[in-house]
Amino acid sequence: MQFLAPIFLAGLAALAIPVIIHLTHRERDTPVRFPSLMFLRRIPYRTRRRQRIRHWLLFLLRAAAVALITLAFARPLLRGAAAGAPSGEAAREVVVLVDRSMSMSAGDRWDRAVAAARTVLNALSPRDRATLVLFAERAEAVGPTHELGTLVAALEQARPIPAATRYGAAFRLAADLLATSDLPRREVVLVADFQRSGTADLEATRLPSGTSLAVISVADGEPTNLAVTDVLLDRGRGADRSRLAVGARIVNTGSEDQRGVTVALEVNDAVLRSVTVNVPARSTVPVSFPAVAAPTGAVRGRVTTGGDRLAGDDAFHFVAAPVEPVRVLLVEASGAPAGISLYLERALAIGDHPPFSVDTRRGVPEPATLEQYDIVISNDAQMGRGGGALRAFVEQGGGLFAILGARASGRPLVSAFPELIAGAAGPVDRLAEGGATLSVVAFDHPVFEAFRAPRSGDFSTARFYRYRRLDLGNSASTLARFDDGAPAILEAPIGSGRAMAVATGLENSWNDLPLQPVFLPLVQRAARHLADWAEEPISYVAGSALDLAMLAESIQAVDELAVDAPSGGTTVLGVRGAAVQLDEAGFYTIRTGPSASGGALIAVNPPIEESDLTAVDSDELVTAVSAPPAEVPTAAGGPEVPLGAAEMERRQALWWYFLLIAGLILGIESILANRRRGEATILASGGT
Amino acid sequence: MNGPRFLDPQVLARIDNLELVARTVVEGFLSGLHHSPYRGLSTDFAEHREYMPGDDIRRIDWRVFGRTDRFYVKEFEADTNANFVVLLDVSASMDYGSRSVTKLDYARFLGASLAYLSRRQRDRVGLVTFAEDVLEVVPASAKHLDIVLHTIDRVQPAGVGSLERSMAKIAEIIRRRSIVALLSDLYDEPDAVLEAIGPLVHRGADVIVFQILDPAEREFPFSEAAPFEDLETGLRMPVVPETLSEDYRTVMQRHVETLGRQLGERGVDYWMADTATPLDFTLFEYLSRRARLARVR
Repeated sequence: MQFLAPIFLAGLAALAIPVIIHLTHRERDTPVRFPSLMFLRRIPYRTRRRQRIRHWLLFLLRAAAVALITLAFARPLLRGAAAGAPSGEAAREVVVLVDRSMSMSAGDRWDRAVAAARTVLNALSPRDRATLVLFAERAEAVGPTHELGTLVAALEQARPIPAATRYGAAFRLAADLLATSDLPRREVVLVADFQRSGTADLEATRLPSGTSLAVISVADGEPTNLAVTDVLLDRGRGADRSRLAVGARIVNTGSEDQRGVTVALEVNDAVLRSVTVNVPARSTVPVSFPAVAAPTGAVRGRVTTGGDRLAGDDAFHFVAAPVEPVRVLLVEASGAPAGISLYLERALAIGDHPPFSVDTRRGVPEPATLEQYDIVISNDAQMGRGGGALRAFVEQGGGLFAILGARASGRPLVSAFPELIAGAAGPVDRLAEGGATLSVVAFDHPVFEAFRAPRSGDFSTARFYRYRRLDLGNSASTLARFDDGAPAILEAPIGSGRAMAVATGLENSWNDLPLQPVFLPLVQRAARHLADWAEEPISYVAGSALDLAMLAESIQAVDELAVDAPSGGTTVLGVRGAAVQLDEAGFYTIRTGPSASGGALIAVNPPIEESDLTAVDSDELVTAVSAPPAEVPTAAGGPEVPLGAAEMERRQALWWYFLLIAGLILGIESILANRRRGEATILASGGT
Repeated sequence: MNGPRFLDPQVLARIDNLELVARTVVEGFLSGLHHSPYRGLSTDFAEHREYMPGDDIRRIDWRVFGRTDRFYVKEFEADTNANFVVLLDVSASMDYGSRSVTKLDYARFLGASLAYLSRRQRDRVGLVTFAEDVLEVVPASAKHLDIVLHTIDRVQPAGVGSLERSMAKIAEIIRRRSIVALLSDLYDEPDAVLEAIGPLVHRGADVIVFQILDPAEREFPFSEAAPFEDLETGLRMPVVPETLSEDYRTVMQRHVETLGRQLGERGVDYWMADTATPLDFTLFEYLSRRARLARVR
C-alpha cells in the first residue's frame, strides 16, 4: 500500500489527543451528591504517581477514528497482486496450459489431463478471467473469458494431435496474455506430461513477474515405447521400376528390451512383408524388408510395429513415387575430337539422386530440341548462332552449364548472357608455373556446400594450366577463383533459370580437375542445381505446412485444390497463395478439385522426438520460466502492467471505506460516551 | 420463561396510588403464604346482619334495635392481637437513587406493602416517620391502614438522621407488644444501631431491620474525580474514585456484614434491600425467611 497524499499522515500526531484526554483526571465542577461521606472519610488518602488510561473502550474508539480519518486523507493506494480488494479476494487472470502433443495420447494421460484442467476451471470464481491454451508445437488460446463453461466445452472437444511438444510456445502465449491483463492476480496452471524433448525452446521464455505457476503432471513413469522413426526406400529404375526395397529404423525408448517385435510393411494397404526383430533397451535396430513388386506410380506405404501405450508412433507412413531423371543435352563443338565429353558423361551416368538422362550432340541445337531438356551443357562449343534460343531456354527455367576451353572463346556468351560474362579474353598460360590452383571457393553455395566440411573434398590438388580470363557480368557471382584472382566459375540468374560458366575446359587437357575425386560430385551437384532439382520427401512431419502452389503445378491444377485429410474431411482451397497445415498423421490426397479423382499423395508422420517419453523434473521447468528473484515484486511493489481505469479507481477507493468505518466508530463512541455521561450525571445528582 | 416474575421498582414508581402499589405487590404473590404468629381472641366489629333463630342473643346490638326496632346481630372478625408498626427513615440521605427509584421511594413501597400485608391478616398497623427526631406518628390500629398509607405517601426527605434519639422516643410511643419494621439506610456505626434499637427490643418488640441501599452506594461506580457532597450535612470532600473505589467497596461490604451479624446475634431480623431488587422479590424472600425463623423459634 502506498499513499497519494502522504503529508496528511502527519495527522497521526493527533492520536496524542485522546491519549491526553484519557490520561487527564479532570475534576468535575459540579459536586456529586452522595448519601453519606461516612465511609469515604475513613479511607486514607493515597496518591498514584503513574497515570493510567481510563475508559479503554472509548479511548480505543477515539484513537481508531482519528487514525482512520488521517489515513483516509492520505489517500491510500493499493498496489500489486497482494493488495486485497475491499470486497474480498482479488480477481485472478488464470491461464490454463494443456499439453495436447502426441505423447499425451499414451495410456490415460489425456483423460487425466482433461480431468485436472476441468477441476482447475471449475474451481474459479465468476470474477476470475481464464484462458485455455491448448498447445503442442504451436499454442492456441480459447479466451480470455469469464464464461468458464466455454473453456470447459473447448477442453472436452480437444484431442491430442501428432505434433511435438513446445513448452516455450505455450509459455510465450501465456506471458503475452498476462502482460495485458488488468487483474491484480495472475496465475498459470500447466497440465502436461513434462516431456523433456519439449523444453528445447524454453530459452529466454519468462512469465511476467508476480505470476504464480502451478504444475499438474500426468506423467506415469517411463512406459515402454517402440517407434518406427525412419524409412529408407530404394526404387528401381527403368525396366526395374516396379522393384521397391524398403528399410526402416525401429527405436526402443524404454528401459526394457523388446523381443520378438513384429515389423510389417504395407503397400497400398496390403501387408507384403513382415519380419521379427529384437530391440534392446534404448537402442535403434535397422530393419530391411526383402524387395517387393509395387505399381510403377506413386504407392502408399506403411511400416508398422507392435502396438504399445503410445500408438501414434507405431506406424511410419510414406509415399514411394518413381523418380524422374534430369534430362541433359551435352553439346560439343562440331570439330571437337571424340571423347571430349568422356569425363562429363561418366560423371553424370553415376548416381540416382537424381538420375541423369544425357544426350550428346554436336553443333548448335534447334530451339525445339532445347525444350526437351532440363539443362544444356555446352562443352567447349561455340554457341554463337544459337545464343538467342539458348537464352530463351534459360529464361524459361532451363539451366546452362557453359565450359569455355580451347575452342570456345566465350565471346558469343558475352553477347547472349551479358549478366553472366561481361568480357572474355584469351587463355592464360600457367604451365610454366606448374599450373594454377583454386584459391577461393564459395562453400556456402549449394554446389559447393557438400565440400564445406573438412576432408569432404580437396580442390587445392587440382592444377589449372590454362584458363580464360573472364569479366563478371552485372548479375554474376563468383563461385570459385584461381589463385591469381581470376574467376574460375561464375553463375548468374537469367529469367527463371540459371547460367553457369567455367573458365577452363573439362576434358583433361587444360587442367587435371576431371582426375580429382571432387570432379564427379561437382558435376552432379552443378547439374542438379542448374536443373533446380529437389528430391521429393517420402513423408512430411506433422505440424508442417505444405505450399500448395508448387504442388498445384506438379498436378496441373488450375483454380482450386481439394485436400482430403487422413481423418476423411475434405477442404477446398484456392491454388494461389494457399498452404495446407498437415496436422494429422497418415495420407493426405491433394486433388485438382472436389470432384476429381486421383491426385498427389502426401504422407505425414508425427515428429520423432515425441517418441521419447523421458520426463523432465517439473521444478526444473518452473524455475526455467519463472521470473528471476530480482524481478519478483515485493509486497509494496506490483507488476508493472497498465491498469484499467476501473482498477485504478478501485485501488484508490480505500479512503472511502476508511471514512465510513471512522464514521461508524464515532457513532458508537457518541452512544457510549453519552451513556457514560448520563450515568455519571445520574450518579452525581443522586437521581433526584 | 417460567417461574416467578417480580415487579421492577421502577415500574412501581410510575403508580401514583400507594395503596394500589401495595395491593399490586402483595396480592401478586400472596396466596395464603403468610400466617400470623400472633393469632388471638380479640374481636373487632365488622358488620351487622339480621338476627336469625339460633343466634346468640348476647350478640344482638340493642342500640340498633332502639333506633330501628329490628334485631341486628354484630358480626366480629377474628384478629391477631399484634401491632405492626413501620418505622420509616425520611432523612435526607434516603433521598438518593442512581436509578429512577430513590431509597425513600423504595422504602415507601416496602413499608406500604408490609402494612397492607399485615392488615390482610388482621394485624393493627401503625407508622412512625423519623429523621433527626420523630416526625409523624400513626398509632397502630385495625382502621389506620388508610392513614398509614396516606402518611407514607406524603413524607418528604429532610434533615439529618439520628437513629438513637428517634428510636428512644419510638420506644416510649409503642407500648404494646408489636412487630416493628425499621426501614433505613442505617448510616451509623453497627454498635450505635444496636444501641438505638435496644429499647425497642427490651420492650418485647419484634424488630425487623430493612437496610435500604442504592446499588451505587454498594458498588461505587464513579470514575471521575469530583467533590462529593453529603446529602444530610452538605459537607463536601474531593474524591478521586480511581484511588478509593476498591477501599470504599470493602468498607461498605464490611459494614453490611457486621450489621447483619450483630443484629442477628441480638435476635433482630436484618434484611439488606437493594433498590434494584424487585419489591415482591424482597417481600417473598423476607417472608420465607420469617417463616423459617418462626418454625425454629
